Amino acid sequence: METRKLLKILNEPYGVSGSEDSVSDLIQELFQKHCDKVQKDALGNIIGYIPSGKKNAKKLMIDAHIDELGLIITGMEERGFLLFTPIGGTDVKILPGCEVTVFGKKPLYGVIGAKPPHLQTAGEDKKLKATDMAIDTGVLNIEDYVRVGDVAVYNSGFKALTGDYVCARAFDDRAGIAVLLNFLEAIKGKALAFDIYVCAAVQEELGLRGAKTAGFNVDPDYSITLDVTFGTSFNSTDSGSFELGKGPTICMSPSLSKELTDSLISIAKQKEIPFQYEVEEGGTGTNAWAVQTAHSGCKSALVSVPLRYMHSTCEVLNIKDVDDATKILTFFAEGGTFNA
Amino acid sequence: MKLLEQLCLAYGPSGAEGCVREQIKNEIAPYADEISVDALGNLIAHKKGSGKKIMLAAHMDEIGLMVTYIDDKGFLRFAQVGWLPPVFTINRQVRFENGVKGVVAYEKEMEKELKQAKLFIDIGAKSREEAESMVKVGDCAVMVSEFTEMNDRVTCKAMDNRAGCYALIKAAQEINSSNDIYYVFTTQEEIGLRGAKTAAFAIEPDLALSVDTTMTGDTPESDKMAVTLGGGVAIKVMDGSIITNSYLRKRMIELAQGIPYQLEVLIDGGTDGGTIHTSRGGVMTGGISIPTRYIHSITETVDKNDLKNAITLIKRFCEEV
Amino acid sequence: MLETLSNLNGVSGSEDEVRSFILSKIKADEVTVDVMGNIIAFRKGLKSHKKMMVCAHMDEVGFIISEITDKGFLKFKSVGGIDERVLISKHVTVGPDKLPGVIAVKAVHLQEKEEREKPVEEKDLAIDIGAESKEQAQKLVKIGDYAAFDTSYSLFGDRFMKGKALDDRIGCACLLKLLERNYDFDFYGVFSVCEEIGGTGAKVAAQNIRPDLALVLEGTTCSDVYKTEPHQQVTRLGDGVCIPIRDRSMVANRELVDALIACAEKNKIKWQYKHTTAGGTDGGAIHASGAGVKCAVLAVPTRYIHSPVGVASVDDYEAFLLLTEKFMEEVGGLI
Repeated sequence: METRKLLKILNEPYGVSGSEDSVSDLIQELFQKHCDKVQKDALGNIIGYIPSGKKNAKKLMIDAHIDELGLIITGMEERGFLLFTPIGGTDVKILPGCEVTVFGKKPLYGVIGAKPPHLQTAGEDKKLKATDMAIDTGVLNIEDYVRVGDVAVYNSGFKALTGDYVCARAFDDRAGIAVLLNFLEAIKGKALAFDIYVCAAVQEELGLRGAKTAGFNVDPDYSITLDVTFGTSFNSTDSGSFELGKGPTICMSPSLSKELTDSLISIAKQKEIPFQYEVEEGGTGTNAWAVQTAHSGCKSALVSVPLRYMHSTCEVLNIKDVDDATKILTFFAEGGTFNA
Repeated sequence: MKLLEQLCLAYGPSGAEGCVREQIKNEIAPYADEISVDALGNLIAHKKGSGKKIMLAAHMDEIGLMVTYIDDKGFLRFAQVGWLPPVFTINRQVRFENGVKGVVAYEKEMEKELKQAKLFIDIGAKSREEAESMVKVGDCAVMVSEFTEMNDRVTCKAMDNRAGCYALIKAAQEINSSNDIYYVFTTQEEIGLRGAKTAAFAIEPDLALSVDTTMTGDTPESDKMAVTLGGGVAIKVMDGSIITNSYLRKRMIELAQGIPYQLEVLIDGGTDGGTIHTSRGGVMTGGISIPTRYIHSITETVDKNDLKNAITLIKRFCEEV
Repeated sequence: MLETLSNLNGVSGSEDEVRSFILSKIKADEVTVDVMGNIIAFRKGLKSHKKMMVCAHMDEVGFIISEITDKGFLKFKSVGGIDERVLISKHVTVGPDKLPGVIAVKAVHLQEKEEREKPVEEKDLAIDIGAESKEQAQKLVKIGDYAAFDTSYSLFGDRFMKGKALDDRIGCACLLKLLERNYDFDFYGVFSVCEEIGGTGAKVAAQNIRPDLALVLEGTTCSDVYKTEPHQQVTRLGDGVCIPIRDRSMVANRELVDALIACAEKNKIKWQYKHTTAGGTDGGAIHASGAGVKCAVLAVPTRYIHSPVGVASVDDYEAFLLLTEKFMEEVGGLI
């Protein structure tokens, strides 16, 4: 599918960590078009299988996560105000003025309100805390529609900016999922060097929980995690940020396999696909960390799409980077320079 | 309440749960076909059945104080075992496994923010030698408190999670089911859900339920939380370690019809379910919580009716889920 | 009507889109646009030539582009009083072609602890339109272009509405309705510009019209939100149309206020006081113009005013429409 369209479709369903059903249903359907077998495990991970047909082929698992940030309702106040706590690493500063949908008995519109600054008493020093905010639903008998534990998500869907730049609330990590799906399309009918397991993992934002059980279920020899990394913006000073449109990053880290990483790099170079080097000194904070120790151990690599404003309501990426990541992955799965 | 009292007063800090394990073993034995203790000290009571393999977990360990240093005058410095802020220990009595008693005190006058490093235990020893004859570095003490009934409520140390152990034992007495049930009394929950992790790996359950205490939001100026004491058994939605399986949660709400229940979102903290649900290839896991005020203090308070409702819901879960 | 009005962009100084729309809908004996950009619609008096002026402002809060950075990001300044805490991570549209953009935010992972808790100041923000370079951005946007919040109007909850510019398209919608007929006195409907930056439009309009009496239609602060004490709530959503006594810019004419309250009571229209003296309206400029003008304000309470999403009650809005209509029938006696 055309990447732009795919990114749009993937940002339509909601999938707050722990409530990923509507997005996982879509992924299951899309996986089924390309895989011999698709299963959903006890935590809700969707795992698809494409055999290479080769004898004693090694198992390559490629994963991306489907969950996104959101809010969980912790209580109700009079006149339709809902109390909440964020799910996943959230910058609470972005919340006031955010429009959300609350998934109660029916979807309800809400806007997050905070006490106006001029009403804060001295000492409150304008510090923003989630516990001082509430979702304003305007529904007076809100107890009839919403219960403690229901979730809410930001309303911002897919939006095209200039050229290849696009914006949505959940490119982290629907961008990785888009790579995965375009990869499945690209390898169709091609000779594969590995038995391939594709995994759409749940609950990454809560501590890589889905990848842990998916990794156990697949027990791969090699794994490649597709995620997003920090994109540079107007005020980036951090050297750990990457330009958009200059290719995906391939990560070097003591927690990743040098052999596998080098192989991805040499394929990118050989095929003249743009990429950037990313360096992490320890764990990568991505599913790669959980998958490699989930069962009998595997060699892991990490490919990331640079993303601006990660974990906000307006994540921005460049479509070219998604396409380049897909190309690297496709050449790798076909054998490339890697001796599995 | 006699059983709950015995369980609460028993000694059992994380990593040294032997005493409480022996007590529970005696209580659960009549209702199990097989009892074992694994490498981490988990007590596993197996009631065989042909149906689903269900793991019920309640942790037996409590928070404690571990001796790290004995000074020349015989005073003990200590570390927290589990989350035990200084304000909960200061000027309280503590007790070691061998019966040695002590009191916790603070250096000089107290600052606004109490520091763990300035706390010490006085066991009445007059010298290092005397102290070393009473306790050793690495020994653990637990808080001392009385088991007290107040109206419909009971208060004691270690209600977290002897109340859960009590509920599991009481439920075991009543459960009549063909399911294959493992009653697991876990160790080291307070220091990272460790016992439950290995127990779940060994058992490989189809379904799991962790039974623990949770905080409430109903005392003066408390942090906002929708759970109240006496408001019914709490069905866990989320805590810092798990989002419970949505199917099981829905089933439990159905099973709770006719008994008071409430839904729990705990912002911090974790339970055994946290390591159980990510065990092996994943386990569908739910949580039942007993609302508890003043958690990790010596005045942990639960409501008898909540406890009764928890027992009923555990029973229904095992029989009908 | 209100939906269309609220969705139009009209940041102070660039009210063109709103003005064109209103001009296309307006019915009056004579319509002019003055040198400031105010629309002045005139309905001739049936019995007298005493002058009544009713004023609603067309402009809304937003942003003006102040710089295009080397990497093609847009630096901006807020136009009108916007709480800078609400800016980051919000969606906007830029310039006359409504180019989509977002207000950039540093990823939470990269923020130091103090940064996480401290609100971001406007000078540290920029709009990202996805431009590759300064050159590309310059082709799409010019310095001095305006940007507005990208929020669409809709109804929600139990008779609530939300939109980016309810303040003061609510007043514009009401004024359009009042202009559908003639009254006993000369009636001047003024759709003013630049209220949010100090009421320059209304000031000139009042000086030219020299009204005997004026009424300002507004959206006003409402802070009946979570964690706000009752005495701080200013107004409460659903408690009716607001009749302010005084604010920072004006003491409302007591005679007019009493007449408005009496009119509301007589017609059983829900109304409320404004429990603060903060904030200002076009009334400030109007009442002190010329030799002085008897002036009052009628307002619709709006939660989260001057933010991406304003929220108002449909009931309050209807009370507002009804009270202005009834009051216009009676006000002749006061002039």
